[in-house]
Amino acid sequence: MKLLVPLMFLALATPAVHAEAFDREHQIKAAFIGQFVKFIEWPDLGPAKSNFVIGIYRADSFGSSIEDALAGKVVAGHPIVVEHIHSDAEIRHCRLVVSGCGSEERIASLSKLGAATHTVLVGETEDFAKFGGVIGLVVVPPNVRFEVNLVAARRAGVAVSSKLLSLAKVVYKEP
Amino acid sequence: MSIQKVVAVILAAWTASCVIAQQRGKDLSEMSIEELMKIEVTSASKKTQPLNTAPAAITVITHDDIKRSGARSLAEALRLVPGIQIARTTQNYYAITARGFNNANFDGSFGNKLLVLIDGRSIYIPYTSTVYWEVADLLLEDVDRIEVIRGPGGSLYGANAVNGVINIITRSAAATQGGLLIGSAGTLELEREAFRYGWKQGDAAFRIFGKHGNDGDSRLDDGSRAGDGRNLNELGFRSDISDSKHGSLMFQGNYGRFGINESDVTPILTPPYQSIDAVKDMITASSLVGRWQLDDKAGGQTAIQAYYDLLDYPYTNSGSKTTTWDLDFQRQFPQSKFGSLIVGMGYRFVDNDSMQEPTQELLPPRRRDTTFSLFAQNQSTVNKVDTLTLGLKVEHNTYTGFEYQPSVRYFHPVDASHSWWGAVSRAVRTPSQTELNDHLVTAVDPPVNSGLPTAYESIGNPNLVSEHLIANEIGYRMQAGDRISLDVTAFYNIYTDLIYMVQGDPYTSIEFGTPVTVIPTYLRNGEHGNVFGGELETKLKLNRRSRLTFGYSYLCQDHFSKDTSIDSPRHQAFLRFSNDFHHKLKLDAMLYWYGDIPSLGVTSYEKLDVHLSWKPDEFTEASLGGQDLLHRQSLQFANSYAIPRSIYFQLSRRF
Repeated sequence: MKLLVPLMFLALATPAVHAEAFDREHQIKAAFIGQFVKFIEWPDLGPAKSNFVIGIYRADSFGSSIEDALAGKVVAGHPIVVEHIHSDAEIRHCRLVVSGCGSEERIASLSKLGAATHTVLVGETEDFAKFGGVIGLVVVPPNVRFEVNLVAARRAGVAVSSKLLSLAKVVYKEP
Repeated sequence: MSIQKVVAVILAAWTASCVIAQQRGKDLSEMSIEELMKIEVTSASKKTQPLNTAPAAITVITHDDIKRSGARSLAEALRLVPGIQIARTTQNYYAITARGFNNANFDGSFGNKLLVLIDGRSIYIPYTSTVYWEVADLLLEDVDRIEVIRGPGGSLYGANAVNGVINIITRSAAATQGGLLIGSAGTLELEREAFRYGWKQGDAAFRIFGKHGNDGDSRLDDGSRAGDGRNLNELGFRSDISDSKHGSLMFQGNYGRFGINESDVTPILTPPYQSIDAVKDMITASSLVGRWQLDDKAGGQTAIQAYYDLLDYPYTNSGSKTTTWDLDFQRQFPQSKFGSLIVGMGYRFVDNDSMQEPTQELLPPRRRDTTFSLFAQNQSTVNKVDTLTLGLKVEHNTYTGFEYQPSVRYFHPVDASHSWWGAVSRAVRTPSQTELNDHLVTAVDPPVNSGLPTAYESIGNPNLVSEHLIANEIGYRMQAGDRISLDVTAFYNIYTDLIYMVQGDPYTSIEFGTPVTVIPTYLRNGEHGNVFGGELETKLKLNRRSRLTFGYSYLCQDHFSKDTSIDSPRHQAFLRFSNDFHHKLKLDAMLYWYGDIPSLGVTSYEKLDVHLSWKPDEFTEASLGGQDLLHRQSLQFANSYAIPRSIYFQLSRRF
């Protein structure tokens, strides 16, 4: 026994390869996204029973949490399908895109694209909504909160319910 | 040495077979935005941090776990935590501890090293060093989660958080809006009726609840009724007011009245030397808690909490009326280059008025004790990704003076799916008032050959000091995708100054007005020894509809200097199977196995609980539950009554 305890502590010294944030935060964020889908009014979801596609665009930190939370659920009769997308062109067939991008320029250019294809952009980087995303998830310790950009929502052709707006940490109304 | 090798091999096997850390089961996708905005984990470091990065052996039982398990009480819900030793000794009483010492109190109470709090209010009774689980009752529908830390929490929670801390956290009033009616009928829990109503006014949310219940009897060995049923009546409220400028303010109050039937055996010093009466103890438990919390923009937080608690427990041989006032202040500073610092201070005043019995007295019968405490904890990042948590609590109490409880905790994420943590900490248990001051006749033998009767007496020792623990812990978690998770902990606990009983030489004296021969039992500090063991929990998602959870714990407590008995099973295990046949129909089955305790004459037993829930619409739930289904009745502990097989049916309706 004398040996066992120090040995176990030695195991602590294993060198760090790389560390990522653990998953709980992203499971919660994924659940938020599921709620956003419900509280956004989607004007035109296409033919009955056509897929409601959620694209994950270089948002690796979510892992599989979005699929786990949303795949197979239904929005107004349209089954949710979650896809990982790898280019701007693929945004076109998505109703909602979860983006991992962080720079102001990149968010603004995606926002323009989203306005053209009627795609709602959701992100989790700092000031995501301020820079043109429709909804930005933010961590306000100890909770997860969100910000809404109404201008971007209007451009993307959707209406955000008043309930969502009342719960948002910040609502950006002016361009 | 061989047993240690076995432990080492088991640990190695756990580690090798590992797959994942904690995929906490509660279905987040069913929560509303308001509920999602409130999720956090607080216990391990007294501040929020993701469960997976907590440098402690922590398990969270969610609201969903409690509901699905079909547990009928807070105590029963704890069976889902590996490493918690739990035994239902009668219809009303539980012996619950973590990592051993379940039968450690000389006055017959249980589990003196486990601290339990409900929304920050301690329900550990310093008078007898125990928790009265029979009056720790709530509307289970209001419980948000139970956070269970195995191992010491003294550097944050102060004295008596030696082997574990249990935090029971209720839902905010905003999360329990609307009406709820519940009714149930069963064979052991005979009936429950409860209501809850929640409403909002501006920024403030409120709820009130009431609960009434009747319970049947546990059984004697021959299957006859033990005559220990109870009834309960409870009322409570909670309000939460929150705005981002002035912070959040919470008030809650609870009042419960419990009527517990007992067969009361009292030794007396005159013929027939023992009286047996069927009595009904009427216990009143009430409390009022207020908490204010303000988050500042820079990431800091200030919190003040005050509570009042009154427990009037006229239980034979240790009856008392205990009033507690408690005030806590806590400040979490914004993150700086030195890390994240939390400081706090607390004040507690306990006024305990004990009842004098024909063959028991406490001198003085009434004590007023104060405890002052200060704590600081800093969490800093080292080697870029590791966290080092240093904590210290200093407190001063009337019983034993100054107590110091430091801890060092280290967390090391290997990568996104593997992590290690280790901790060394010191914790103390302060002696109870009965240990210090009691003078109790535990049994009387009639006189032999016209001599004097013989009285066996427990005599308290006012010079006792605190029991001490140095705990060494190490844990490993692994997570690969969301299919399988694994959480393993090992500990090596070194106890000193444990209080033990020693029999003195007989003497003749006049006790409680009668001349008798006394065989005294004295209490001393001086027992020391080591306890080691480990806990394992693994969760497996079989498919979209089914989950398996397996828990196992090992405990070796036979290395003591005196003959302190081994009072917890060496091996315990459980297997839980959850299946969603449909989103409206859900089944849970839990098979528990508890090993034997030879020194107490307790044989091993197994227990099967099953719960089936059907929700025909979103407002209605019908559930059918069965407990202890494998045997007609089973004995779970020494000096206990048997718990019979039972079933219940419950209907609840929201509006």
